[in-house]
Amino acid sequence: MLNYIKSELYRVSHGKEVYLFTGILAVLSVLMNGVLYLFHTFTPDFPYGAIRFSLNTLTSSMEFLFFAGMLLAGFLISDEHKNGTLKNTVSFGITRVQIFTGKCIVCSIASFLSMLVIMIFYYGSAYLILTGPDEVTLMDRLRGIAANLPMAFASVILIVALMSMIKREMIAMMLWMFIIVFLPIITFFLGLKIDWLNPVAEWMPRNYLNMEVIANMSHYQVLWDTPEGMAKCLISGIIGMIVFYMIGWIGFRKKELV
Amino acid sequence: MRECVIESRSLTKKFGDVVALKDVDITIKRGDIYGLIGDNGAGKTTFLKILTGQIYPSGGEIRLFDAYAERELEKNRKRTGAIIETPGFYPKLSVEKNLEYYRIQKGIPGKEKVEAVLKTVGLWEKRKRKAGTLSLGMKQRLGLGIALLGEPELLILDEPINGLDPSGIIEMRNLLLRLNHEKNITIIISSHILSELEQIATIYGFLSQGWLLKEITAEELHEQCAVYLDIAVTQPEHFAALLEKRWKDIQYQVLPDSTIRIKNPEMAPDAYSTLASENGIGVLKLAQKQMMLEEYYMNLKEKGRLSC
Repeated sequence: MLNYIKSELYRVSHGKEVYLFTGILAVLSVLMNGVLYLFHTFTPDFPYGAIRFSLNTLTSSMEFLFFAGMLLAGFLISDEHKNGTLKNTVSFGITRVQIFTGKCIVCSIASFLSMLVIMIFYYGSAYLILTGPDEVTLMDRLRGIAANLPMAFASVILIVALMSMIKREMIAMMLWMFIIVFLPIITFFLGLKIDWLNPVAEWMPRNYLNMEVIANMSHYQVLWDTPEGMAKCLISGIIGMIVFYMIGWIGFRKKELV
Repeated sequence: MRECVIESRSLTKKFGDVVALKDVDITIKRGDIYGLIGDNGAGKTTFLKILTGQIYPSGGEIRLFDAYAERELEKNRKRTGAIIETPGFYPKLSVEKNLEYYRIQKGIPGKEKVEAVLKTVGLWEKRKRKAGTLSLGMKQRLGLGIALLGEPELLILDEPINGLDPSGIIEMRNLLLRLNHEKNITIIISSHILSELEQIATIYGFLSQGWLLKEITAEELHEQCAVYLDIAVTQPEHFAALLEKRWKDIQYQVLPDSTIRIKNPEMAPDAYSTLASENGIGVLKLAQKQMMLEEYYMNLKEKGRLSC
């Protein structure tokens, strides 16, 4: 499997997808801070040209990590069925489990590195051009990202699993949306009627990020500031990684490449 | 005794209610060039896909280098190279990078192997081009290049000359023959172009609607296939009557263009032309031929059994 991972790393590093994706998001993040700076400079009493506002916006939108991971992984492994490249790899005796695991690892590495670059641009531009002190320390900010990383990896694993099993990529992405976004919402509302579903809903990332994270101009209260909250984020993410890996493992293990 | 490279026993594959392969027994020995022949839907690609692990059999077993357990099969597939249906590659990567990608994947040491393969399949000049921009024939060459990486002992080729121009076909044929002769690479190849298969295969397997109708070596085919004599004369009806009168057991047929085809002629061609001229019949054409693969295949299909 090591050779397969090496070859995938070679492909990803020699393709344009990861650079384009990272570049576009990095530029957009700088532009966002730039727009805040321009409004702050040219509009009297504009309150949002502050580091605090920019970084709190990011903190309150941690689901962004999941979506970014899904999109990048989707770009990296799209057209595998259409290009017939999976056939070659299987014909060479690399097992489907090795292929799936290798893709999960490579997409996770690529997504992580991409996120690092984007975050450097986001935080860097915020600290460079926006005003005011940030009451939250950089370490606390980074802790927030670390708390949500396992779930971001789980999102990557889920899209790899779905795209390995389903030839039509749009359907795979819609299924991903359903599992990550709509299923927690449905579970939340069902939890209001069915008691035992309530704790299940509370452990779903989309729900706890919406209910237990408040980060705006006046408030900063985040789940991962307490050890219990941090543990909840990490455990939830790790469970996601295991469950989604098992879905991919079971679904792709005997998948026929017709 | 040569080693069995591929052996299938009662191999069966169903897609829902459709039986794509039924109890297929095929044996291919080291050094063979096995021509897999059959119409569309006969089961050729299904057989090759099972062989390469892309799909799983519904019944029976397949052995590759004498291994049949799944893990062993996967291990032994590393000794093969394959093109199934269309060649697989990353269209946005260059030709060279595609080969480098598979070189790393196969764990082949030495970047020079890529250069050697590029030269072997005639893509050295195109190595910097994006694979997606290549012509169909060039894509086939790239597919073959990927299959050849790592010096496989067995090549599994499904319609490899699709899209090749005439010179490409000749080059491909010569390359396969060279690989077989010089490196003793076993090849299983399916093609619709029987005249091409006829020039390289040492053994044939005829598939029809999922059944293996017949396996026959090139020598057996040559021995079994009938010799026939085509005679075009000025008065075919009269000549046919003369033939029946002279040789009571003669087997002949009158072709649509009035040519008389005598099957397995007992006499030398001269005897028939003499008979015609003695009776005032002009001989327009006289040619002795041997029925070959195409006709053998058509006969086999029509009769459902071997009969030449």
